[in-house]
Amino acid sequence: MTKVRINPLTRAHGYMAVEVDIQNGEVVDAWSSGLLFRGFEAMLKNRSPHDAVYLTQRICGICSSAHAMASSIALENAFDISVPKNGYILRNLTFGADMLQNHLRNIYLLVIPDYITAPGGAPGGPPNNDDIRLPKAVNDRIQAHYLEALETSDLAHKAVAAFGGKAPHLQSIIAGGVTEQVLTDRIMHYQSLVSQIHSFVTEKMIPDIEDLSRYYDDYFNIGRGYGNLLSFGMFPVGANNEDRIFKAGVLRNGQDNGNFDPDKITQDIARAWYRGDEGARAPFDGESTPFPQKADAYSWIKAPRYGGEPFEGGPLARMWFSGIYKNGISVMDRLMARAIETKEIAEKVNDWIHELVPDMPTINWINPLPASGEAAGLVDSMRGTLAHWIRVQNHRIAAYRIITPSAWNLSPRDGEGRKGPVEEALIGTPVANRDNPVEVGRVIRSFDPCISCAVHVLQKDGTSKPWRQF
Amino acid sequence: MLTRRKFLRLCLNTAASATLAQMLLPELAEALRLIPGGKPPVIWIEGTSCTGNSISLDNIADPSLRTVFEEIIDLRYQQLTMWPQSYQAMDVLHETKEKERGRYILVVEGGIPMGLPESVIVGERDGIQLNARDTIPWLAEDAMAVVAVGNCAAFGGPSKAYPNPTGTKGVWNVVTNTPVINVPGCPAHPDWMVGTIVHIILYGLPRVDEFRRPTMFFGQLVHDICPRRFFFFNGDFANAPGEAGCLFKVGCKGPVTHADCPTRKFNDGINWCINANNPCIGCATPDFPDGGTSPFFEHLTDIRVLPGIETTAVTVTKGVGAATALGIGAHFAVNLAKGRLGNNLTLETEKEIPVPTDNPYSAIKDELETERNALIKIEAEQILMQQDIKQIRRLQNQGRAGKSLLSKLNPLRFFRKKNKL
Repeated sequence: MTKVRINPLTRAHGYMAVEVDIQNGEVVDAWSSGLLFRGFEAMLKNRSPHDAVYLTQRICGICSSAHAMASSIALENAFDISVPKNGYILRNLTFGADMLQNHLRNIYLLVIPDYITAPGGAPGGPPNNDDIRLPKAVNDRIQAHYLEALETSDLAHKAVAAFGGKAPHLQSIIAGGVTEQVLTDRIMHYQSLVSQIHSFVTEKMIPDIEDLSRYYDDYFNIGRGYGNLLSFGMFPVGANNEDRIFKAGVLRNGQDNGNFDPDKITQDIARAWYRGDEGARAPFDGESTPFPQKADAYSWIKAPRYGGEPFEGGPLARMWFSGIYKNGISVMDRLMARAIETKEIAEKVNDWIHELVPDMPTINWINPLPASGEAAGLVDSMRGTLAHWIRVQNHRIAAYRIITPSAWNLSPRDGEGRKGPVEEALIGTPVANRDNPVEVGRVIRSFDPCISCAVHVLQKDGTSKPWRQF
Repeated sequence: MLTRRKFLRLCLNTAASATLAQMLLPELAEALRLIPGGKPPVIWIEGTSCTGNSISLDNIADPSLRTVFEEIIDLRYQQLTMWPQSYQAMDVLHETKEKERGRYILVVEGGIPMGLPESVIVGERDGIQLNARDTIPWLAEDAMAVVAVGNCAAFGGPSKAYPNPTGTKGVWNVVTNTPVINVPGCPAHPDWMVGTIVHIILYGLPRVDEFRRPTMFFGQLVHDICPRRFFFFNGDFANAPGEAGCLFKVGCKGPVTHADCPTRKFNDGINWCINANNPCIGCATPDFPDGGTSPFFEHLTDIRVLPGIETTAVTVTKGVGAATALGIGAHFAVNLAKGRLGNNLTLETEKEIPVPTDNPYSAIKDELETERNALIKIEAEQILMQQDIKQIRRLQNQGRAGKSLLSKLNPLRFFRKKNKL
């Protein structure tokens, strides 16, 4: 028995498990499974197109604003709705604050517990971890910052709510702009909150990640994966969302691979618990229904591919294509890029605030929308590339497709047998204690996994496992 | 000692000065010290969930999440934040259930996928998969109480949105042997969650309505305590999201949603949906996001407010008066009869209503609006006048005003004159 299963993989959004084959102290094969399915695409059918913006946010409790953005952009593209300047700036401010929220919580609540000792009151109590390398002083300092992050992690969401109504699940970003007005008191609150977060990031988070990178420097050589990075570009600007502040890009096996072409995106259900149209399919091409009895499937996540190949997305891809961080592709590089992106965003939002014009419109509300239309809304979100496709007929949603960042990152094998990015990144990971493979969790959490966005039972050999009867 | 009465008052009056827990905390810490066995253990388990309520809990401002973890509860299990993973996590879950029998509070986030149990796997033990459908009732058996947080856990919420692909149900429809308190909202406000847990710890189960929602948080309609209520009275309606004014006409579900959002607000009080010029979408109602709460940006249709009570736009406005009801209701009746609302109105999402290809609604919109706004305004004036009359009567009773004053304010005459009847 060389296989080890981690189930549940905690400190991830939604339920996931991973199975790794460990030989001679090293991972030689891996299977990652998303263990949560809800079926939003079916729920969206026949609803009013405007409702998509609010309903799709319910996919994910930590990146709700990202779904609001993608959904709004899809509707705007489908019906040629132009967004006023105040509208897209307020959207970016709100979405930017949600990015800060996500990155702070990912690093302190989800990632750092893999590298330090647990303080009193830590949820679930202290775990067994044989690989704590930090000197006591450094460990204690980062531990104090963990507790501090628990105290201040609400600030970023407060900044989101300033123009987003509430968070999570915003009530402000809709097709055409933002319903909240440009109010000076709110700008003042927002700036104050972001400046507090900025100090925390520059004075604590970045030094903490730098310390981790010094004491765990072998993680610069662990978790590279395919070396395939993809970004749709983040923070759309312009009346038709035509430009992006963080640029789109494609990196294939460490080399630039031309401009991003949305038509190259396909999805495959070969190893996922669905039946329907098999093979690599364009988003609207192919129907599937849940089928948990499927032999040799092991995840609720479908396998998205770009030009037939698996790609990872996230802060590292964006920082790479923006030329801000190009050190390499590894576990530690992903953490470094996330910390640097947090700082970049906390600084950039201050410039955007100055472009706001009080008393000018923030929204171009069109209701009812034309009877039919079809378009995609592509935007980078916290964990990577997020795409919504909408097809409206007769004033109703005829079809809706969503491919989330975690579907890209955590995808299972496809019909061609190619592993997903996380599965590939796990190959070669040294595991000191197979009964407690902390190294595996570190690799996976560097991708900031979120299964809420996509995803039965593992049936690795095509055999169904017995269900527990209580 | 913090009495129950005082606690309730704190819960109800948070908007007055500080947040719930800020006032509560010093006394709470003292009270918790008196509890035998110390801080009560909490197991937080997820079903068909988006993790949004875990995140909303993290958003608690006063007390901070740190204080919640360190001083209020002993959070043994929560997928999102717990340090152990894999079998270590499962060990914690099983140990807590066995050793803390009858003492732990089970918090459930997300609904229970009854139709497709394979859709949520919470973990495994000895090679056996634990699905949410079986694990949640199993954990509930030995719990002191079950708190269903968020609309999915309470009522199925967005996870059971038509066609409900996973056959999701609310926890109280499945768990029958342990009391379930529903704390809906999408997500639930952190004060609602922590407030309910603290109430259970200190005083036992809180008083609940027919949908098992604590009345201290869900006892009032959003519409009744809405700061834009006077826009409604005055017939000052927003015609699009993003405008000032009452958002009734752009689909506000405040008149049928029980929650204290208008006074509590979200994210440490910085904002809330209607304040952001956005209609309430009824995220704390039992049928959200179906059953009349959607389309989100369209008029109210039939919605279950409490069991056995259905409301329409007509009954919503009963409390206001006949004229308003007439104004809004007539508009509805006419348009429904003529099929004018066609593409804008669905009673239930499962019914596919034939949709006209053009949009006759917009052609008659302005005309109807003018008419309706006038009627609503008249009604509101009547109400204000009636208040004046009460005031005058009170003064008369106290001997501080003469009869003549009242005659000048004859409501009927005023009404007729104003409307040239």
